[in-house]
Amino acid sequence: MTPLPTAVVGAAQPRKTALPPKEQSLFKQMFRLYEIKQYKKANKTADQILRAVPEHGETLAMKGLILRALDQREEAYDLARRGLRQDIRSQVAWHILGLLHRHDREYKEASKAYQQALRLDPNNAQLLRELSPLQAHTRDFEGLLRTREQMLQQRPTLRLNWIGLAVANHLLCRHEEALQVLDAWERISAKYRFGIDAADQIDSSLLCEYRLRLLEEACADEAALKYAQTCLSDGKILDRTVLLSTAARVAERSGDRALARTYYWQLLERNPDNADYLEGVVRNDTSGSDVVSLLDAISERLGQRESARWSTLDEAPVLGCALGALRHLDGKSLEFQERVKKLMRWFLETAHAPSLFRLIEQFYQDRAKTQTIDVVFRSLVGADMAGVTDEATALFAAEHCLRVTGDAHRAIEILEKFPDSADCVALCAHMWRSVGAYRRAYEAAERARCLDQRDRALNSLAAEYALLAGRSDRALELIFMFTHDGETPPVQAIYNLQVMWFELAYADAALAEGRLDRALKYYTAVLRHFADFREDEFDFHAYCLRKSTISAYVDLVRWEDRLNEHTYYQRAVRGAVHCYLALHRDRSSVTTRLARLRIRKNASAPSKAISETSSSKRTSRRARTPGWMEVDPEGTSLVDVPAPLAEAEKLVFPLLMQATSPAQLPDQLLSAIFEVALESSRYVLAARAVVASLRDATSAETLSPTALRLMVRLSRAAINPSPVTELVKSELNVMLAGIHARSWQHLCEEFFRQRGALDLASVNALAAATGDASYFERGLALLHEAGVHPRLDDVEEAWSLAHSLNVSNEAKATLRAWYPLADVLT
Amino acid sequence: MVTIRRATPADLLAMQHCNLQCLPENYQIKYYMYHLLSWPHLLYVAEESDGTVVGYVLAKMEESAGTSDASAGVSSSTGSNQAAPTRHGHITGLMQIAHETMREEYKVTYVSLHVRVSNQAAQHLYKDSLGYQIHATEVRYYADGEDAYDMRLWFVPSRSRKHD
Repeated sequence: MTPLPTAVVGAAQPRKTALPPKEQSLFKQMFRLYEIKQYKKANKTADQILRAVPEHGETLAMKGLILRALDQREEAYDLARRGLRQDIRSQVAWHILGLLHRHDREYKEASKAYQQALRLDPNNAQLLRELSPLQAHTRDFEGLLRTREQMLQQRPTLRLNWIGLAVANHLLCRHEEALQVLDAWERISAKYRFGIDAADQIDSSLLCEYRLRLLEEACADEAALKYAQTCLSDGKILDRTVLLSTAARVAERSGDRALARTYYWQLLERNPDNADYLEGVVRNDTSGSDVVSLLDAISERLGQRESARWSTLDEAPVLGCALGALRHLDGKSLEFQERVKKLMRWFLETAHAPSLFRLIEQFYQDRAKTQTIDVVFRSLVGADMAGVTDEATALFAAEHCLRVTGDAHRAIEILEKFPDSADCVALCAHMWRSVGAYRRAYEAAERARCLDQRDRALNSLAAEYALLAGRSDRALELIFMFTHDGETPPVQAIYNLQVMWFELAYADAALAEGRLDRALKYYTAVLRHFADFREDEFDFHAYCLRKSTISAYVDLVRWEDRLNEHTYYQRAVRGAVHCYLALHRDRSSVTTRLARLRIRKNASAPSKAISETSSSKRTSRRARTPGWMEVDPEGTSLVDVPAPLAEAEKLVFPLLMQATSPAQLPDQLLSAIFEVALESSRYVLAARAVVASLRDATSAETLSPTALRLMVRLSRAAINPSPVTELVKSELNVMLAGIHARSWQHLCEEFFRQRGALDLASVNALAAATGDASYFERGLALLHEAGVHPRLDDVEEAWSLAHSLNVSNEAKATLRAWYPLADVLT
Repeated sequence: MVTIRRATPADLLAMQHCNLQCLPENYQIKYYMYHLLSWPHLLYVAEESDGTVVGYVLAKMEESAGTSDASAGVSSSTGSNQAAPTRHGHITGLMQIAHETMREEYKVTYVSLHVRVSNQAAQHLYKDSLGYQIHATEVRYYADGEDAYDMRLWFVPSRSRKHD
């Protein structure tokens, strides 16, 4: 708990609520005890005061603060509020309430309390200082601006206060004002020579960097360029990467390509491993020569530049240029063929480097290039691939073969000639996985792992595939081998170390096994991590101002605001919503009690791995507070919530309500919001999710599968006549008109006509939304005829749809033909 | 082709993932955040053309002026596709660019790092490709009790050093 600073106590003015002298000194003593964390003694002193003056407001509030430090949360708030009631005009009491809320991460509430305190003591510097991060954290930038202005007025000699005001303006996108603040500070500091620590070149460099950034963001191209050029010559900005890349961007934006090229060239010389710089040089070339010869010239010039490090083909920038040239050449040309051959020979015969496929994978989208690559490769290893005699070549041969022929069996045969190579065996695992043969993928991954048990990546691969193969317990054992966090039991260590990829995969596997409790626990774990990432920001509001790392700070704030775009977050939300909805539906059916009993029974028999964990916990000597994962590791309390639907609402509705532009919410989240809204008959919210999912669609052709699904489901759901459904229906009609459809049935026909032969995801969406097996059967036939090879996850979704829709055996056979080795389809 | 570029907050989760995939010492996001917001110019990532982060370097400045500390990590999250020779290429490139920034911006005289005594591959890389030397041994430096070598790379010729 943050100690209550002395300024607060000092500010306790003798008013009519003042204490008698003896109690006043006790009050000071209580505060000192609190500060040195002698909470129990402090509490006794508080009681002593209260015996003499029973309803003394500030003492009551202080006692609240003390009890909070003793972990008595409820009592703490009770006392703080009682204290306030006694002495509503005490800024100390308001301050304490603010501190309590801040401690509990209730920043909005804390901010309100601080503002009340400031109303009573408007110039309290400490209150202002503590309020500003609260406002930044809750994105109350208007409020932050006012606070910062006040702080500056109080102490205009402090550099920090000027930067703080500039940042507040910046966060409100008031670039001009932010720049004016920086200018003013520069003038004042130059005139009076205060606040400048000449020795601290880094800080001043960071500030100049920030100014440059503001100029760029303000689109003041001319000024930005001029400033960058000044800094380039006077060395005020120490970091040349930022300086040169800003200069390059701004020069390009303002049309000065020659200048932009110069800067990109300098950047490339400094860091030749950067494809963006290379592109920048090429894009801004004014010589008029063709791209390929330009790249050759760049390659030669850079190659001459320094050590032998860049003289070989496997290193940037020579490689970057070589690949760039291949991108631009015609796949049928002799030039392309010879260059590919040179690259291939270098990688496979000289360097034996296994990364060739990764590098040229991009060219397989071009049929002519693929063919040439095939010809060249066969000329090296023979038509029957008899020349594949080393690992690097085998790795390439297998990937190439799978890409050209689609024959995973053949590709795996090539790799199986190298059973002692962890790389080859791991690639086998990848190949099995790519065709849906999860059991075999897992077996191969285990073999690869055994070949090099110190390689954590192989361990992770085995764990991931164990989950796909339905071996959750084994996956846990595997992941425990590497996940350590001091003496913390491994289950908790996974959580502490935020191993999200595993938590999500583990939750998905649990869901597939019907273990709602465990799935919900692990999805919730990921959601909690994201809440923590948001929370992690808090300390940096003050820290970055002190460190002058303002540019990075602004990036952080903006990144935090977009955290929900991260796929991990979206998967967790979707997963958790899925669990809550299943629990909700389950609970309202007759089977509820049975299902819950089953969950209980499973939960009471934890896996071997977990029971070992808890026994190791018992033997550890030091008593530790058990972590969130240790308490209820299987999520029993989560599935026991009284109203699962309400939990789902709490999770997703704010996403829609708080979004400034709901259309920017990704499909995954919109679907989740929609499902919850529909389940709770919140049709208006559901309609808002549908509108958002439409984005810029103007016809059935440009409609996303998600938008179609949501639209049809809403149309079919809103049939019971009521004022709300009438509203929704008229909204739907507007939406339909916007994409030139007469009705949802017409929309489906149109969508099928446009997309039915294009991708399986669209067919799946149609079938799922309408429940009409004929769309499914007709769609599969069309896709089959068109020679489309759908993605594995779409086929797996189609397979589960095929069962619920009871489609023809022919359709099922089509699905199986796409992935004959897939576990789920057999 | 792998691109080496400066890290931004948007890379934090990918860097953490990369670390979890390949190294035994792992950290919470806040640790990466702290690095990025303290020395925003000293963090770099190696990124595949599809945006996958396959390597990173976190470097930092010691409180006493003129010295610095660096650690490096590299991942192979896609199994065989990132086999040994390429991985080392990333580390070399990442380390070199971090060194250059530290020299340019912070005017450091040397860089130091810790490496497990058993990790000969890494020692070899630091020594032969990057020019580090073993400076000292730190007993039981790692949580599991293993010793570490403190390896250093000097940017000034040894004769002009005041102390070693």
